[in-house]
Amino acid sequence: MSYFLTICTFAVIYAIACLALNIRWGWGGQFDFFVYGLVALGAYTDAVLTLPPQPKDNTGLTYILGLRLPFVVGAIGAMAVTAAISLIVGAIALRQLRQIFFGIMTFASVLILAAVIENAQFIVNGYTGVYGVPQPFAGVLDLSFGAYRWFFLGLCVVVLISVYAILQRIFWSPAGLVLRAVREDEFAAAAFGYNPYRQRLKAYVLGGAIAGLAGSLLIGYITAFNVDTWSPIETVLIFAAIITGGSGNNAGVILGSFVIFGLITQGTQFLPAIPGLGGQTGAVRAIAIGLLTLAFLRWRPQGLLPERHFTVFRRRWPRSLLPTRADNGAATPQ
Amino acid sequence: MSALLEAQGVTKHFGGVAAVEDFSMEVPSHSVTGLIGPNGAGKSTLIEMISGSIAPDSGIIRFDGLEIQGLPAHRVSRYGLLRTFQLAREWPGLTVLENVMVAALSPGEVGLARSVLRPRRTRASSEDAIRRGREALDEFGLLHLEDELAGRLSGGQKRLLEFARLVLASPKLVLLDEPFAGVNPVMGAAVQDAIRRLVDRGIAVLLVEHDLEIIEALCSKIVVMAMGHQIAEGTMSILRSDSAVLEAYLGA
Repeated sequence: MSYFLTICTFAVIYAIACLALNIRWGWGGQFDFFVYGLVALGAYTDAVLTLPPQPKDNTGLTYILGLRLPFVVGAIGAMAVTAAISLIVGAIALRQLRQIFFGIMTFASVLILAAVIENAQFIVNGYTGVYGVPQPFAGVLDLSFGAYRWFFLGLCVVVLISVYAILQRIFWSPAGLVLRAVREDEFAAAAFGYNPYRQRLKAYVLGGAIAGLAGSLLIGYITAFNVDTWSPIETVLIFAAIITGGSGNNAGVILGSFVIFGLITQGTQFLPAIPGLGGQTGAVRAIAIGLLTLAFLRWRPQGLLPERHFTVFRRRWPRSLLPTRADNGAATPQ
Repeated sequence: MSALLEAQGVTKHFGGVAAVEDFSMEVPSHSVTGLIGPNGAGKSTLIEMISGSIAPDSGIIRFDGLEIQGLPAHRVSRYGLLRTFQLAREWPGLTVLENVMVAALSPGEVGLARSVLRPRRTRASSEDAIRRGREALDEFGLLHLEDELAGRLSGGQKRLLEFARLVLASPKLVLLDEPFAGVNPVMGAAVQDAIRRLVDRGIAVLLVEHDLEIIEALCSKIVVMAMGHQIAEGTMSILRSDSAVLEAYLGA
């Protein structure tokens, strides 16, 4: 039961990170690798805001700030920092670079971030990282260990639902529609008065803020964080979830993240050991995710739940919008 | 009466090659102006400069009293100067209805904060875009395809979709870059019809086209371009007897 709770909590946090990348990749068509770096940056930011001041004795634990702020402030701070960093990276990378070249620049950005954090000991204790980060609301609630785990899962689910609700509003709005038009053809979008650079940058920053939120939940759960916990490879897993679930479709992306994370990365742990290949479940898992992603790209690139479209028939628009009898024959209801 | 669009001494070099050299012309409002010339005359470069895709090296482009040379494409478009491309540029992964919705919306309606914090207004924007978009689709005979992905339309249907998008953005002038390319003769008649409909709405047109019969049928004024220069302008009957035009086209 305890293990099941852990999987669920990780899967929900992971789903929030997937929604963040979906804004960039699914809606905006940006081949972004920076997203997992932003999850990490959000985690570190949350840590230094909520931890008590750095201990004076010689424990070797060094970090900046240590403001002992409550979780909510830590999470907001994490979102602000990741949004700001996204604005800087996006403002440079989105200007000229597209597709794989954009991907290379964002990949490099993660490596730079990792190198800085690893080597500048004073920021977040270098390679060893921070630990003992206070858990959200743990001090206020005073729950037993088991009850708190249920509470934390509930907190993550509430955050996921809120993020989903906001992103659904954006998807079914002119803002979301124009962003998808920029993805499809930016020159045509510019020809109709929309600044493609500005539209892309908006999506990039919004995605960054949500990745930061996922990071602050992540460190609130595991309470310790170091450079080993995050690598560019993690972003590939997020891409796998988006491709499997359905690029552009928020619900699909959540489904995809549960499939990839819940079933494959965690489910394979229950597989019997392969004779002669003991301890290779990690490799088997990576192969399974790779094959699944390739199969989707080949046979069902739109994913389990494809991107949805505006139509007078499917959305609940007012009656006055619905076709009159005269053109009903011509239109094709679905 | 002053011209709607005016180019003065516009020049653009690519490396050592002068694509457009000291080019001047005027496009009046409420009519179709033709821009013709042999391949390599610089017509496309000129269109790109007027629409803001590339900046001229020198010269002035004035639209509706404002100097627009060097402005980015989205700014030029907001002044009411729209363009189409040689290849139809629909948004292929969006439906036909969504394509016209984007054209019916305006940059002020696409804020992220607005879409989260002002759901009623956002919804009203979408509804209005759907309503106006469907009217335009009906006018251009595409309403039965509204839920189809735009990428799946035929070449001619994509052209009509472009016209539906154009009228929704209510421009003052549209630049049509070879709108008959890749369109079969039957659809060609529909495209001619669509151009006349733009003029009926008070929209001026600058038409780049190779087919001189179409140019003669549609245009009240024709500008001839060769080697980056304007070599003649006037009506078709005048141009037919112009030796410079004959030389450029026939090498005679």
